[in-house]
Amino acid sequence: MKGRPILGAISGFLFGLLLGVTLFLFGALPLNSPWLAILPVLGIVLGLVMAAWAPFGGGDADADASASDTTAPTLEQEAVPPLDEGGPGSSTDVSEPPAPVEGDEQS
Amino acid sequence: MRRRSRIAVLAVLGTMVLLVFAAMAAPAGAVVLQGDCTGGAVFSNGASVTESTPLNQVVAVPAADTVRYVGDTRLEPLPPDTTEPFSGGVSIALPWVNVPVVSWGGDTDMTADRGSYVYDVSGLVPEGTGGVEVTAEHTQRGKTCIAAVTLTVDGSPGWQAYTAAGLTVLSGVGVAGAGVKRSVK
Repeated sequence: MKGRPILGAISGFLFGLLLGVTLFLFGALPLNSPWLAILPVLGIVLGLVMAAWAPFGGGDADADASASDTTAPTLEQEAVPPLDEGGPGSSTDVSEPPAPVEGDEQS
Repeated sequence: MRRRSRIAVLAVLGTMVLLVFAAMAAPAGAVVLQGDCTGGAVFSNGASVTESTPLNQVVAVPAADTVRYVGDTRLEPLPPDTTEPFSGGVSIALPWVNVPVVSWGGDTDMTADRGSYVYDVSGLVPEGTGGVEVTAEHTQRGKTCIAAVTLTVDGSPGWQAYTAAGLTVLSGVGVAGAGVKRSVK
């Protein structure tokens, strides 16, 4: 799991339970509706799915996991600097990676 | 990354919308009645219930009222100065289980009754909720009558509903938090 399964299970259970209570209190569900029992279970499943999917954030794990994503821009940046050499102000978006490229050109 | 986050948020919201619409479907049902007892109640707001009120009809009753009622077990009247045992109670239906809330029992010389009853559940029961299926059962002379009706307290959803909605959003944030990648060092 890339995310937080324990947090997902607990908050998912509470989410489903409270969603059912809210629907009942707003008159959308009768008190004997099976949804009041099903929603907490679905909430746990939703929390675990979110933890397994982990679509949010990134940080170090994201950087490690998507190594191919980091190499691809470097290849592009090697091709870009010769075009940007004339305009120093144009290299703000690629401030870190171009440095070794310029060093290679100087040497 | 942003695209995946948007898809995840849309998936969560879409699931919630589907669940809400599925839950709002009217419950199928008909009156549940065992035995041939009859009964009814009339409330001050004009609402009334009888033994033939269908279960899928939610009757909104006042939070506090003096209700006029009538009930008949359809048993032969007892001879003068004689009594017989009776028992019964009221229960509320939760998902797949009934919870008793009131019970009665003892000896009586009556087989039918009518009158008025003062009640006040304001502050105890939230208003404007979904229907609550209330089942009443009465046993006398070996004959059991069971009747059920779906009730709600008249009014608009109160602070309880909005508190629950706020807590739902908070726990939803927790679910979203479970989808944040753990940092590995």
